[in-house]
Amino acid sequence: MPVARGAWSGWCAAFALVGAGSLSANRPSTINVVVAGDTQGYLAPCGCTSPMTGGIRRLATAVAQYRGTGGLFLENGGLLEENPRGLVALRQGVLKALALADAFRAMRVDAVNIGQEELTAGPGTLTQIEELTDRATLSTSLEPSATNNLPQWLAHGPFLIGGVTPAAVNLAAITGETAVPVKAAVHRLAEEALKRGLTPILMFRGTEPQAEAFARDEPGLALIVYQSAGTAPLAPIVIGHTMLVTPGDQTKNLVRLEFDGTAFSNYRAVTLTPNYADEPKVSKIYRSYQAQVGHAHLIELLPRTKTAAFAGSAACASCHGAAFKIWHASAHSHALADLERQGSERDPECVGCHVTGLASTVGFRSRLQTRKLADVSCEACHGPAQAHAHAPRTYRLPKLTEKSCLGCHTPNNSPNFAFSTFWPKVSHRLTPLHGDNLGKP
Amino acid sequence: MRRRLVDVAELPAKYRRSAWIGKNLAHNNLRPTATFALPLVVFRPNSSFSRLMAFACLLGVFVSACGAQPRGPQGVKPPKAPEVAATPAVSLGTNADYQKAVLSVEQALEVGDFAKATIRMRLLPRHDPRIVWDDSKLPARFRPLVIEARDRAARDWAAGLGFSPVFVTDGSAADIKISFEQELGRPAASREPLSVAAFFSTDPKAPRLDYVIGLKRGAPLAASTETDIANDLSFGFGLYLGLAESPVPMGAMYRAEKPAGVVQASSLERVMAEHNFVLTDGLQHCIETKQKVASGVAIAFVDPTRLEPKGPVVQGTTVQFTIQVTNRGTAPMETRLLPVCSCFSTSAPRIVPAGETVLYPLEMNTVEYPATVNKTVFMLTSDPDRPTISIPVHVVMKPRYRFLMPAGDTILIGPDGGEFTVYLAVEGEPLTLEGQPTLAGVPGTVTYEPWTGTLPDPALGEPARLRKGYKLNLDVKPRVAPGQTFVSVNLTTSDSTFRMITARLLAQRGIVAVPDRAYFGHIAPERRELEVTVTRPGKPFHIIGLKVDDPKHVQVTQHVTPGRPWEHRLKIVFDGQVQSGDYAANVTIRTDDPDQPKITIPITATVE
Repeated sequence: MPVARGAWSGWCAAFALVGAGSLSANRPSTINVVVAGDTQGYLAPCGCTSPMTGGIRRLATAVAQYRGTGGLFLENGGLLEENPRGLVALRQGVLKALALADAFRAMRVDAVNIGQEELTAGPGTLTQIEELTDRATLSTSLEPSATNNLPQWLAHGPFLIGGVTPAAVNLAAITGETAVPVKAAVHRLAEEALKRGLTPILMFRGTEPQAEAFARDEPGLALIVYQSAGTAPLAPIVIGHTMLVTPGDQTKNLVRLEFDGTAFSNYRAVTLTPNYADEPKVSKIYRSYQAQVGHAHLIELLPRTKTAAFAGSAACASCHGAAFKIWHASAHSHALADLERQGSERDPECVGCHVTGLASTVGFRSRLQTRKLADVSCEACHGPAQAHAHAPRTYRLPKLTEKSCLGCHTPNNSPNFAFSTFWPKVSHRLTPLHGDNLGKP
Repeated sequence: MRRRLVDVAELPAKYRRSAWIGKNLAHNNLRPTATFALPLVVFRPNSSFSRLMAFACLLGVFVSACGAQPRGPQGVKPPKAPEVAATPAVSLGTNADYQKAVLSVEQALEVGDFAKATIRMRLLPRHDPRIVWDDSKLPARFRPLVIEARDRAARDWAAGLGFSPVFVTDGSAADIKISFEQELGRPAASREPLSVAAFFSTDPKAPRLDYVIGLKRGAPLAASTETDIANDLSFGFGLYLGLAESPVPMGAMYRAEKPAGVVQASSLERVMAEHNFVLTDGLQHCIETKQKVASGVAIAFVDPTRLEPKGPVVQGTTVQFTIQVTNRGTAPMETRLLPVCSCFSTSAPRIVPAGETVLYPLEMNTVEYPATVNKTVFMLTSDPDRPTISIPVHVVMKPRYRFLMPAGDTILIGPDGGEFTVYLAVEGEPLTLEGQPTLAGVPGTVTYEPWTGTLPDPALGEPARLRKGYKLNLDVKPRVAPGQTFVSVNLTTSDSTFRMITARLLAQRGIVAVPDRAYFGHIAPERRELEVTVTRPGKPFHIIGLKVDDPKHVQVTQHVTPGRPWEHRLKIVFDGQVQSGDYAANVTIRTDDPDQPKITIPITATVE
């Protein structure tokens, strides 16, 4: 049968191997390796726009699928943001760290690299992370001592896994231990692996250029996991016999590899799209986390500033009827309900973009207390408008620009946001103005 | 604007196609007739996009006015078709085999070989394809489920599209053959078999699409589920309808290795499939009316193939790239730059006339990326060989600002309060502080002064170097509750992108329990241990009593850390033998410190 050439030629060539499946029995057994990292407190997408990617519930499904029996799951650390904004975020960070560590235990994590970000929620939380992950935490960046609970490395099957952070000095200062310089730590790992006859894997909380330098200095390293933002690259970096990979940030991707006994191969970057189901056990942990966030009353603790008074969308509708109809038909008008469906309506990280005036002393409190300020109402974009409602000619509202949208429609929250395509959905520029309506019957 | 004579064959096909298809989509009773007949005197738009679009609109009005007529007996007589017309371009996001099939029909029409064109029309999707369904390799008990999944996938595509496949069991004159194999082959360097394999054939005796679904997939190998197969079938129908695999995680044409549920064709995918049908109908009409067309092929050349600025970029900077797209073929080429991240902005889709080049500006907003960032953008083209071109983006970033704390991040509060210094180091343009910085979490004040000095940044692994910014002096009052408290220093800056920035710290007074609660997480009913450190750095104290309010399930022991008389370690053991659900208890510590005679550590767990 003639076969068309083109995009499918690769598939066709591969298909020619149909029936060669039995050959796999003769191949040396391989070990599946799954690499994640840099969650940065991004436990789950808020689900307000589609298709949002990432989240620990999907990660757990993917890890279970890809590691298989006897596989390896590595977490390169970065559980929390290094600089959360404000006290509430810091408090929430503690809850996040515990939920994440609990979730990693449920995923049977084999190694968690400890770095600067794990210190964000304080040394107590670091201790909890160690315990909750069943002591899968490690740091080659700290000298072993009687008081240091973090092992230098962990041996799993044919691997010796180390974890190095450039922030060793900070880690040592907070844990009361002694730091090992970065280069020395990497060298120790390579040397120890050689001594034990194991394959060294370096988890590194640093950048690509630094990781490349290690690959050149320590050619015995089989795999280096490093830190980056965005998505996992389409292909790994290979220097000599060392493969360098990064899973990107915010658990939106993971990296899959195979180890055939001598080297890593079959690199694949997987994006955790909505096609990955939520894993039940981690979903339960996530729900507990949401409940704890609610019980901690973090929303009530958010700092608020004085602003002018809000009028509510109903007041706007009395003059801007056509505009109100457009808003009412838009997703903005039921933005809080979207969060309620996700169970995140008490999460201070989410609520601000789903209600009106959360940062104002006279803004949203709860659906019961401030019903008219639930959802992204007119005043969420146009600003407090009670004065304008009372005297529209005297108090004009400022004009909006694309920038008004970008506070909430960030790459994370709104991955496909493009002003030119989103704006027409909510545009109400043709609505008659006050001047046209006022005084008319 | 330059004016010159342009041969109709040179005219960018998009101008006709947009009006042609738009008209047909809006009014199903209309079909194109003389849509390819156009005036020969036209002006060539220059690079101004707005003028290009205005021209396209004008042309569209003209074409729709003369180029479509009602179907059926009431229809007016079509105007006489010209001898040669340019053909419409294919939609972006269509697969290579579909694009090549369109081209092969056009090539036959160009030379007036209408018989050959008729034969080649079979390579294009039909509204009512005959599908040979061979489920003989499926386990018998699995067949009804798979047939149900198949029908669901077909119904999904059929809705509103006029796609009604006919499933048959004999292979005569089939358009698609769907069959199953236990396990498909593995791509090179992979031990994971393919989940599906698709063969497009140009042999008139063979099915156009031979589609094989694997009954085992993944690594480790697992049986394909009904959901997997439903999605495979939906994807297969999409391929037949001319669509390519999508890089955007939505719809039926995006392939996920572990689908959560049955996916459906997106509205965009339906529109694309409908466009393909309209194009097919148009070509059929050309055959019926013996209309010659000019054919050509677009050949895409994209430069660069990887986007990477020279040197590091300071966070918040808008990075500007330019992608050059050249059409080395003979037909106009449709292009669209598809960035799958709202951090990018670019221009609208462009048409690249044969032999010409267009430049796509691409801006990247880096506000959210303090560290090296990897992204991918996709160039969709109507080049049959390269319908989707991936362009990796790699940007090495420098954070806009850093808070450096040479003395660690904990403010120790004594009887007189505590003082602490934080350095704000700024990269790029100077960043001016505005207003009065505030301290949250503890009472106190913050003052600041411009600073230039040499400091390392251990968190980034940077050695000591000259830095500029501000020195923040924190003066914390003694009225701080015993224990450990989060502190944040909130600053307002002149940079509208980084208006509010926050430094994170801890304040510690008196005896502290680290962690301040024992959280065992979600656990099985089994024994778990956790260690809590109770400490007052540099000032030894004694624990004079330990009490647990649930001694049946929780035991606590303690010892002083060797060499650190100010530090006590508590080992908390929870036996887990409690009723499933949330568990809570408390450990109460009594100390000899009159300021903190009692410290309570809550214990929580969720027992499965």
